[in-house]
Amino acid sequence: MKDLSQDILNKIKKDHIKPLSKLHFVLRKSFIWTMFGLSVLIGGLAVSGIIFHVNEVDWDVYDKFRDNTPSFLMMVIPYFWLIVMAVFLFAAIYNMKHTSGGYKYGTFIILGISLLASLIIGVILFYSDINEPMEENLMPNVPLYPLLMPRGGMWNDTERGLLTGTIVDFNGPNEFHLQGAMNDPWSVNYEKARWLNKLEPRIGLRIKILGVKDGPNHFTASEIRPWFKNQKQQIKVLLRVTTTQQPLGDDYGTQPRPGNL
Amino acid sequence: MMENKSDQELVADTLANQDNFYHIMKRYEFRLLAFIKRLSNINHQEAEDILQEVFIKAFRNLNDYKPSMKFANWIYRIAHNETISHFRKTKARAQTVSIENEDAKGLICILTDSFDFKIDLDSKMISEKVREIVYAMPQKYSEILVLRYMEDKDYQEISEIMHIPAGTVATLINRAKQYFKNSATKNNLQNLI
Repeated sequence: MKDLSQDILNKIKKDHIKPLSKLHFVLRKSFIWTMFGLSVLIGGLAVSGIIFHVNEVDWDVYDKFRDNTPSFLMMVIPYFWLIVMAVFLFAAIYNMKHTSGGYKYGTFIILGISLLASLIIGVILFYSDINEPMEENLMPNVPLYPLLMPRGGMWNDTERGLLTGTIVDFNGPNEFHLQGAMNDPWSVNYEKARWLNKLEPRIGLRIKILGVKDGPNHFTASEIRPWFKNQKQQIKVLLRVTTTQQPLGDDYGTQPRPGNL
Repeated sequence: MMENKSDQELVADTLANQDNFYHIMKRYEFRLLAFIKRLSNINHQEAEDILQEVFIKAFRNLNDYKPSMKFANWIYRIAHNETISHFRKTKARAQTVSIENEDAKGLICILTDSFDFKIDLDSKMISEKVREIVYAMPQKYSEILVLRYMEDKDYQEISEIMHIPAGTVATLINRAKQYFKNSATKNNLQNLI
């Protein structure tokens, strides 16, 4: 009479099938937990990016950008970070579900826990000042970033009195040359401009300007703001430069204006 | 002597000597074969092929088994996954659950709180009708009814076998029961009983 169990045991022996080692399962579980941790961490990074961008929105001058509030809001939504957050929250849920006990928890419970963890990590990262250097790296290096973060381009609209760029040179005591966001050259008169955030004109300083376009590639500023509101990173770099006297890349201010020499 | 040993002891014995796996297989052979057939209504030979894959997979993954979990749930889970996976590979849906007259009794119990009747347990027509109803059910409902009413598993055991939260098990069972009751009414099952 056929003995199925004996047949299977014979096959196991014949094919030299062996139980996988405990280490194999330990490594697999560790990998899944690591991926879960990474997903939550990157979710936290995305949360810090969202907080940073919401904090950076120039709410006080929203009427300059678009004709109505909804379209302004559409422009300031940090799509890139929202997509990153959604993808990695999904990854966190997927990984958690694949841990040995993860199936016991409903999707919404795992989503809530992952979201809470990402929020806590995001707030910590936000206060760790990582966002400004991260922005500086992402903007030129990630092709989709400027497209998915339209807020940056909002200030590149001289017809509406908005200009952004980096100071490259001084052209007398009240005028500087600015390299615009599209590498377009501008002469900016700042004689009557108000400098926000105790900002001082320096070569390499990245700024946002409110004013009037009063000629081809000429702009008269009424208000000048730092590109990033707090510009902690710029201040740190400037302090480092003062200490080391090392030249920097073109993103940060290294030389004072002529009047300060 | 081996018959008196617990599953956990047999697993430990198997890891020391693979010949002892024979006793685990012997303990579960008929139960799992019946379970695979109930889930899929395939012929005996095909069910045996799936069972062979189940036992080989269980053997390879023995070090992943945690003694804190019931071994029966662990190996039922493998059997469940292998059966579903078999139909994915062959790109076919399980035709229906296999329902013997004894199995039909379990499912008809779902109706007893809705209808007042005497059950003729030997009626082939009843089994046939029940089979038709379950055939038309979404697979997630038929699976859970098999586990609950034919395999007599409780919510916690079903949760471990299907890897879904216990709360979801309760919800699925309620929905499956409701679906079964509605279909039974539409198919005049109560008239046959």
